[in-house]
Amino acid sequence: MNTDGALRAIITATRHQPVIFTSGELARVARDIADRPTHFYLTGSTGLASSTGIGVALQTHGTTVVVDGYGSVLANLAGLVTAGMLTDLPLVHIVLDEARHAGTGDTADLCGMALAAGYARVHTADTLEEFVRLLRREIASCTTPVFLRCTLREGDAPAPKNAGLAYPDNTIPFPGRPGWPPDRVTAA
Amino acid sequence: MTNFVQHIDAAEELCDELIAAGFTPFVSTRSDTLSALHEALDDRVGVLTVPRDDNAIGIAAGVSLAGGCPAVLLSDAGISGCADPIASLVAPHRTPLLLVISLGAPPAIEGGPDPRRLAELLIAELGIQSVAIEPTARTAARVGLVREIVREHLRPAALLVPSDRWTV
Repeated sequence: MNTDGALRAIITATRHQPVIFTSGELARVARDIADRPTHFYLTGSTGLASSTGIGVALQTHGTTVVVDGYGSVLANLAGLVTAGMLTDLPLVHIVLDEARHAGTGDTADLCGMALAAGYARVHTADTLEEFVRLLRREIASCTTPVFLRCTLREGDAPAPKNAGLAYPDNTIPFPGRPGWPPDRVTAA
Repeated sequence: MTNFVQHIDAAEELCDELIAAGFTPFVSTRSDTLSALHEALDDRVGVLTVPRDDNAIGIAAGVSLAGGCPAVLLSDAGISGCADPIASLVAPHRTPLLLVISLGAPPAIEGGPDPRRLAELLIAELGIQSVAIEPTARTAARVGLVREIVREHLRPAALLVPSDRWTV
């Protein structure tokens, strides 16, 4: 499984859920696959995808998906603590863990940390099929913070360059804002 | 005793006005300089207490993106660690939320940068409109101004409050 495959699976499984993508390459690849009104791409604030997702889930009371990277989770372990203490928060926190593939050596036990922080369930998916199965199940039944680590073992084509994301275009009409539900959903 | 009561009253008054203006939820870290306001808000409507100030900004940004009208309680010493989230999550998206900033912490080291000055510079540089609560101004009127910026003009705003207003 690589980044592109994992992101395509997430985008396919989240037609109606808000999805918060961490900044950098993940956001650029995701936006290149399908740019939806339900997507929000961080353009800085490394580590705060989880915090932003917590806020969206608090306000909407609906399943919210956060797509993080290994480094961005480590940059903000406090985000795990906050999500973990909000036991009725419908948050699916996905980590695309490229650390081993990127050759950065032994990796921290993110699932152990999430469990210790209070996440109700944690999973590790090593194959795309397993990831898709877990993702669909958790998105369909999410009523509490869950953590889904996806191990990436294959490389990707070069990520798109920063396409000059215009900030106002990145403001999304999530539930509760004028313009929801969106009338434009592009196919993944 | 008189000062103690006055400080508590000031925190209670600001608490009442913020709630009446429709701000919710309130997100904050634990901070000595904000404890009176924090406690007053927590007693009435609850405060989501988080481990880090930048997390509070991130959560508030998410609430706002989804249509809420949140407020973040920050100290001037704490806001310097929030430059990145304010610069990337709040200012460029014009995310409607309120930053309640307590001003007046002493420099971390003697002769060091003044946190109040740093906070004011940061807010101004990032284009966040700010309203100060002055000793002679009515709290309700000042909160009304930030309410207008955030709820009607859908822009971020900062309410600057001298910490000696409620630090006992």
